[in-house]
Amino acid sequence: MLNTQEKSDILKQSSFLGAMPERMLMAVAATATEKQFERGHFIFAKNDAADNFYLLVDGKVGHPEVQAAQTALSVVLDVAAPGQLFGFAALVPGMPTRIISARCERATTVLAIEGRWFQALAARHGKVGQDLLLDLTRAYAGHERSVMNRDGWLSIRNAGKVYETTGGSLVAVDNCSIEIRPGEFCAIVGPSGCGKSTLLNAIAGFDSLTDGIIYLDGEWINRRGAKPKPGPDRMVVFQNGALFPWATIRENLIRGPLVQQRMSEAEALRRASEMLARVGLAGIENLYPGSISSGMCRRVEIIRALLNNPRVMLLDEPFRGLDALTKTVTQNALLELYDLTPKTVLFITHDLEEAIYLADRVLVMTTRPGRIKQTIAVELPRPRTTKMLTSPEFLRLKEEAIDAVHEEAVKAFAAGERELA
Amino acid sequence: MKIAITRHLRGLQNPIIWQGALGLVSFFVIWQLARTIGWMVIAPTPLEVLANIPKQMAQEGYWFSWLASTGRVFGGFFLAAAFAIVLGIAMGTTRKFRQAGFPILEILRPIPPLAWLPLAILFWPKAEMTMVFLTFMGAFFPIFINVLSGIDAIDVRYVQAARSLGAGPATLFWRILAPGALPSLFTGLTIAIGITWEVVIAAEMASGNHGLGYLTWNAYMSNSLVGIVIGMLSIGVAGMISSGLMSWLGRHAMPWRRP
Repeated sequence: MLNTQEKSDILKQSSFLGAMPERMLMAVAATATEKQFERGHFIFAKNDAADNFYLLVDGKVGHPEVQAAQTALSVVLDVAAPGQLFGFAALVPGMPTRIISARCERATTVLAIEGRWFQALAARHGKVGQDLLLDLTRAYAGHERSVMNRDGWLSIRNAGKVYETTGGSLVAVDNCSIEIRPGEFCAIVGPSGCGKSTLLNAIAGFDSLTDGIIYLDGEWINRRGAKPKPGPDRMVVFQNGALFPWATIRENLIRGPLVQQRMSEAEALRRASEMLARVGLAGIENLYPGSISSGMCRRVEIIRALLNNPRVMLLDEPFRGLDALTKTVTQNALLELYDLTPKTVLFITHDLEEAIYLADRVLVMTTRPGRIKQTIAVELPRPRTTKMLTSPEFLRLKEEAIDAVHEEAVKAFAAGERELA
Repeated sequence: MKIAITRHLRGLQNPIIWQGALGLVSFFVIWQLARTIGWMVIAPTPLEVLANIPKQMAQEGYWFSWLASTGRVFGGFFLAAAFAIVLGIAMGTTRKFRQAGFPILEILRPIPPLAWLPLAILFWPKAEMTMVFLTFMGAFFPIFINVLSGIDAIDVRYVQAARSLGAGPATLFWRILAPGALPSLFTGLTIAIGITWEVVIAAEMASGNHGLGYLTWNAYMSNSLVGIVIGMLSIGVAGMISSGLMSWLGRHAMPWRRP
């Protein structure tokens, strides 16, 4: 059996964990459990729940799915070097299942560390811990994209935006880093004016960055000093809606795919009617947006975005100003469409309940300068139902989020008072 | 056929038509009563006017006056619309052009169209050209300013959404800028057509030799009170038909704004 010192030596060989501060390293070493497996044993299999992650001590572990793939994936075929980390899924907040298996190719010894415990430990260690978690998540999201062949991995690294005004410079977003996995539904909450929309505009390509870089599926879409370009791979659903009032619902829906020459008019029409029917809006194609309710407009706008088959959906407080009943109907329509074709979604709101109800992960953003203060993993099963709004788990998450946001709201209020004084 | 008749009959049930008719009748009744009790003795009574309408219409040159004024109004109006729309779009979409061109237009804009009359008479070789030029000056600025503000008022979200949807510059222009500025353009056109009638009448009184303005002025010169009133009413009807035409065009060009 290895003692704690020997375990920490293994940890130090890891490219990810080796640079942890000494205190953190020792804490991990103290809890890491040594496990031995025979040749042919599956340490974990695809679709298992991901609880632990592992570091190789001795032996060799292969990923059968990666080895079987004809095309080269960006994931290592096997784990053979001592200190090499595998089983990343356990390190990602809110990630329930394994996407590949790990099978021992000969008798193998590993260190097993509980993922949740490690995440909590890292979160307690400030910037160093948070950066480490980001690196691990990034590595995982990249793997997930290539293994699962899913698009929509959004990687925001140290993004910053400073507005130069006549009264001086205003830091809207500062050093903000977020990793969003392909197909993840991620919500950002924060008080008004905390830079949420600035961040979304930067991702959409409407606004330039003054610092940092944003990647979509490994290619930069916006970076400091470059003029970004919006495109159909990132569709935005705007606050207050932006259906073209001068075009019929039909025209609003099909014009995008036709302009991009992605489908024939007949196909676009067929798909548009199909999706309208799915959210209970069949037969409104010939109406103008002005003659339907705002709740209906919002559903149509979500469909307009989805028809372009985007890699990322960006929703900027889309349900603001809707009455409670319309809001629920529209949220459920969004959930239904999401469950149908899981796209990466970045959902901006200041409504906590909405964020928890819809998202896999809720990020709490700080007041100016905006950056991510806290991550809340929402482990409510999908499909989500309105009943969950009163479940104990939901209420617990809500309480956690309220505490985090309240603190920020008070700060924002105080800052506002100072600015006015 | 039967359907068309029923539709017209149903149209008669519309209270708006009857309210309008009531207002019109009341106006003439009050006018008549005022004369009966001895006010406004200088003006003819509505009944006198009514009785003289056939005679005035049969008068030589009456319909030609309509034609002449309408020609001047629409000649100047369409020329102005063409120039103002092109210039408005150019200045609304290119900042440099706007910064260069705006100051001079701002100086020219407050000059009343009729203040151009002396210069126009000296410059243009024919009276006809002078009058078309004056209506042009009257119509140009309202259209131009409204095209410009229509483009400015287009919500940036529509442009952003269109760019996300993959629109290039041409698509952006025809599918966002043009329809987005249309309501404001029609506001401009409606104001402009009213101004062109004002300008053309004044110009005809000053330097014309036919037209509705000349007709009215001529009635004054020949001391025909009924002629003056009928001339004025003709101008009023011509203006009403013109703005009716504009709002009809507007309704058809912008089906999304129909209730």
